[in-house]
Amino acid sequence: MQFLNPLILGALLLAAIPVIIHLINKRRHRTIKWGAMMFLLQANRQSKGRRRLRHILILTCRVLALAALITAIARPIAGGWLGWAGNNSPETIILIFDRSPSMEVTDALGEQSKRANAITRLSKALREFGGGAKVVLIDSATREPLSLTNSTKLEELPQTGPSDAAADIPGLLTTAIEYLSASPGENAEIWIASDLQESNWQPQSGVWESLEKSFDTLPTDVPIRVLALTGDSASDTANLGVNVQRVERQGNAIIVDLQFNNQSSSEITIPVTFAIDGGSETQQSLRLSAGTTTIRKRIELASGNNSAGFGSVKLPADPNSRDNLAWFTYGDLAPLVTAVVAEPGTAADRLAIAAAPNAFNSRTAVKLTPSEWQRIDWENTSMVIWQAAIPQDEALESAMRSYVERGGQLAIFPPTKESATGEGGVRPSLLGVFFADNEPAPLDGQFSVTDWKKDTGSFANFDDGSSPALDLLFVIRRAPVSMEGGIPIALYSDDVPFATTRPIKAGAVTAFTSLPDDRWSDMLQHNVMFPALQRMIIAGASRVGGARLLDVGEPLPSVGDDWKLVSPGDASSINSLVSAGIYADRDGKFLAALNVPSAEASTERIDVAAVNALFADKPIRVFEERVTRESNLASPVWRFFAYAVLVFLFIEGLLSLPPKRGGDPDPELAAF
Amino acid sequence: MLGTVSGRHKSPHRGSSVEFAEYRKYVPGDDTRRLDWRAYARSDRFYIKEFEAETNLRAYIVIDSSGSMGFSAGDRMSKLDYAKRIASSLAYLTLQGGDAIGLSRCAESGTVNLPARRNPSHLEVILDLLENTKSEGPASLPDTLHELAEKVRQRALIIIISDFFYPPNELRDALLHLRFNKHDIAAFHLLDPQEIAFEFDRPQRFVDLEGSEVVIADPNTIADRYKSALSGFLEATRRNCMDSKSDYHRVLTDQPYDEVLADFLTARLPKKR
Repeated sequence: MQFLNPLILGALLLAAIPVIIHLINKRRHRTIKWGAMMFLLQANRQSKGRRRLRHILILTCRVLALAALITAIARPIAGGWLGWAGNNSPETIILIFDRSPSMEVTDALGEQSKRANAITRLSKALREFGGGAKVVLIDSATREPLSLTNSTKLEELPQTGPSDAAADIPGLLTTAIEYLSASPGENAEIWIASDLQESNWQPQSGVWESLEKSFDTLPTDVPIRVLALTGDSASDTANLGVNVQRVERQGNAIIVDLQFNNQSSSEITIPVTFAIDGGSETQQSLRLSAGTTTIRKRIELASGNNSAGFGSVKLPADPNSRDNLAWFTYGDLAPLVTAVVAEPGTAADRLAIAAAPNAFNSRTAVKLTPSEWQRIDWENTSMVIWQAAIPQDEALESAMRSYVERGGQLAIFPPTKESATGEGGVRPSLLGVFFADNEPAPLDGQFSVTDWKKDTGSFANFDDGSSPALDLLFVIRRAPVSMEGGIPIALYSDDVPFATTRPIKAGAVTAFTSLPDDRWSDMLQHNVMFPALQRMIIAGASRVGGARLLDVGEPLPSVGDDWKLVSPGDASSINSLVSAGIYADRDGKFLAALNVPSAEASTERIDVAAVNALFADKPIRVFEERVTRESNLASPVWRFFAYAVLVFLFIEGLLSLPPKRGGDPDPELAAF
Repeated sequence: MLGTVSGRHKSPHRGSSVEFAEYRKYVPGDDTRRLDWRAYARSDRFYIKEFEAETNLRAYIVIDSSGSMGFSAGDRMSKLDYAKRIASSLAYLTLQGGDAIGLSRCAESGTVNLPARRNPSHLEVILDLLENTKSEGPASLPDTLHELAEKVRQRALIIIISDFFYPPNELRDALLHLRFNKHDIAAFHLLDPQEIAFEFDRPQRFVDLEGSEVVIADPNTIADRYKSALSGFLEATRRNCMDSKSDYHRVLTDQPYDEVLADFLTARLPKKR
C-alpha cells in the first residue's frame, strides 16, 4: 500500500492518545473511603472479566478510529496499478511505452490487449496521481519524446496505438536519459510499461552498463517504476506467429523459408493463406508442432513474370493479431551484381570467383581497376569489393558512403602494395578504413584465427549448425586494419582482428586483413571466403536491389525520397517505423517488406528480479500485473478507512453506553 | 421485664403485685395460700389466682465501632456518630426510668463491656466510653453478641446498633444465641443513603474502611450488581432478625434520630397493658 501523503503517517503516534488518556484517568480517580466493601467486591468480581473486555474493546475502537482517520488523511492507495504508481508526485514523468506486437496479446479476460490494459492503468494513474506533472511519452516505435498536455488522452494518441516494431527498452531508456539531461533540475520519474519480453529488454547486452553510467551522470536519482504486464492470455486459442526468414527467386518460382511459432503445447493444424502481389489468395493446411517450425514453401509465379513483386502469408485470428501476417518481396530475374575493384592479379580473380562462381547464374561479378571505380552501377550492385591501395579521392569516399548508407555492402581487402601516405604521413582511408603495412608470419609459423562471431554476421554458423572453418585458415601475411567504430568479427590468436565490420545506416563495410592469394592465405580453399562474400551479397541485394526483407523499425535504404505503403491498403498502417507491410520508393522501383521482428514471437520473459538486477542500486519498483481483471484496478482506499472510522466510533459508542438499569426497583431498596 | 428489684416494667414472672393476671388450675406443689376459694365455691374446682409482678429493666446497648461504621457521605454524620446519639439517648432515658443500662462496644481491639447499673452516675461512664469510641479496622459483632449472650445471665433487653456488615449466617447464629437465652433483642440497622443509592458521576477509587482493599471501578457499570448484592444482604439481615424475634429497625443516617427513637419507643408501648 502506498500513500499520497506519507508524512502524515507520522501522526499515527496520536493513535496512542486514548491509551494515554486512559492511563492518566486511571491516576485521576477520585478516592473514596467505602464501608460497604463486601458488596462492591462482590459486584466487581462478578463483572470484572466482562468489564475488562469491554474496556479493552472501547480502548481498541478509539485507537483504531484515530489510526484509521490518520491513515485516511494520508490518502492510502493499495494494490494494482494505482498502488504501483502513487507516491510523491514528481515534476516530470517520462513514460516509456512498449507498443511492440507482443503487447497485443489479449488479457486474461480476452477483452483487451496488454497495451490497452497498460493505457487504462497509466491514464488512471496519471489522472489521479500525476498531480500536474509534466508527462513525456516515449513510445517504442517512434522513440521520440512527446510532451503531453493535461487534456491529452493516452488512448487517443497514435503514439500509443499498436505497432509492429520491436521495443528496444535500453534504447528507450537512453532516450529518456538524454531528455532528462537536457532538462536538469527536474524531479522526474521514469515509468516503463512493458511485458518484459527478453528480446526487448536485452538483459545480456552490454548497453546496460553504459546505461548505468548514464544514470549516474544525472544530477538526481530518478526513480524507475515498471508496470510489468506478464499475465498470460486466458484465451483457449493458442497464439501463432509467422515470420519470413528468407526469400529466393529461382526462375519463375520463389522459395520462401517460413518460420511458424506455435505457443501452445500441442500440435495443431491451421489453414495458411498465401497471396502474391495482392492478388488472389491460396490456402494450404499446415500441421504445426508446439514451438518453432520452419517450412520451405515454393510458390510458382505467373509465367512471364520477370519483375520484382511481393507476397504475404496470413494465419487465422488468434489472441495476437499482429504476428499473423508476414510480408515478403522477391526480386526480378536480374543477377546479383558484385563490383570487384581490384589490382589486377590472382587476388582479384579469386575474389571475383568467390563473388560469382560459375555455377551461380544469378551472380555476376564486374571486375574494375581502381581507376575505373566511377563505372560502378550503384543502383544495381549488391556489393562492392575494394582490393587496392586507397586513393585520396573525396568523390570515391562520397559515392561509397552514399552507397553503403542506403544498404550496400562494401568489402575492403588490403592492397598487395603499400598505400602511399598522404599529407602529414597519414594514409588515406575509405569510410574510416585504412591498412597498416602488411607483415609476414614468422618463418616457422602462421597467423591463426581462433575466435569469431558465430551467431550473426559473415562468419555465422550455417543452417546445419556447422561453422566456417576459420580455424583451418593458413595465413602467412596480413595487413592489420584500422576502422573507426569497427567491431571485430574474427580475431587472430594474438587478438589482432582478422575481419572487422561496421554498420553504416542500412549498409555495412567489412575489412579483411588477408587476401585469397597464395602469398597471403588459403582463404579460398576453405569454407570461409565464399560463404562470407555470398552472405554480404544477399544482405546487400535485399537492400540495394529490387527486393528487401526488413524488420519494422529498421532503416529503409535511402534510395531517394520517402517510401510509401503499397500493401496493406487499410488505414491501420501508418509508416515504416510502426507498421508492417510492403513499402515502395516513389518510383516504385524498389520494394521492401517490413515484418514484425521474429524475436517478438518469443515467449521468453525476464522476471522481476532480473529487472531489479538490471537497474542495480537504482530506486526501482516493479509492479507485475499478472491478473488483468478490472477488479484489480485498485482505487484509493481512503474511503474504506473513513468508513472504518465511523464503524469504530459507532462500536465505541455502543460499548460506552451505560448499562441498562433493571426494570422493577428491588423491594428491599424500594423501601428507602 | 425480668429484674432483680421491683420497678415499672412488667415482669415475665407472676408475682405479688396488685395487677391480676389470670387463673390457672391448681397443680400439686402450688402454694395453697394462693388458692381462690371463691372460685372453688362457685365451680368446685381449685384455681390459683396469679398476679403480674412488676420488675425493673436491664438493658444492654451493643454499639458496633468497626471501620465501616465510620462511613459518611458529604456533610452527613457517620453511622457511628448516629449510633452514638441513639445509644446515649437510650442510656439517658433508661437511667431516668430507674432501670439499669449497660454498654458493649464491638471494636477491632476486642469487646469492651460496661455492666448494667441503675446508678445515675453510670451515665457519665457510658458517655465517656461512647465519646472515646472511634471507628477503625475490622471487628466482629457476632463474637460480641455471643460473648454477651454468655455473660448476661438474666433476661435483658439487648439493643444492637450496627450496619450489620457481617456475614448474615454468623449474625443469625449470634442473634439466635441471644434469643435462646431469653433476651429481648432490638436491632437498629444503620445505613448511609449513599450506600443505598450508589450514585457517582465518574469512576471512583474505593478504599476499604476496614482493610487494605482498593477497588477502582466505574459505579455506573457495577451499580446493578452492587444493589443486587446489597438487597440480598438486607433481606437476609431482616430475615435473621425476624427469626430471632428481634425488634428490627432499618435506619438511614439522614433520618432525624429523635424520630427514630420515638418510633422505637412507641412501638414497644403496645406490650404494656
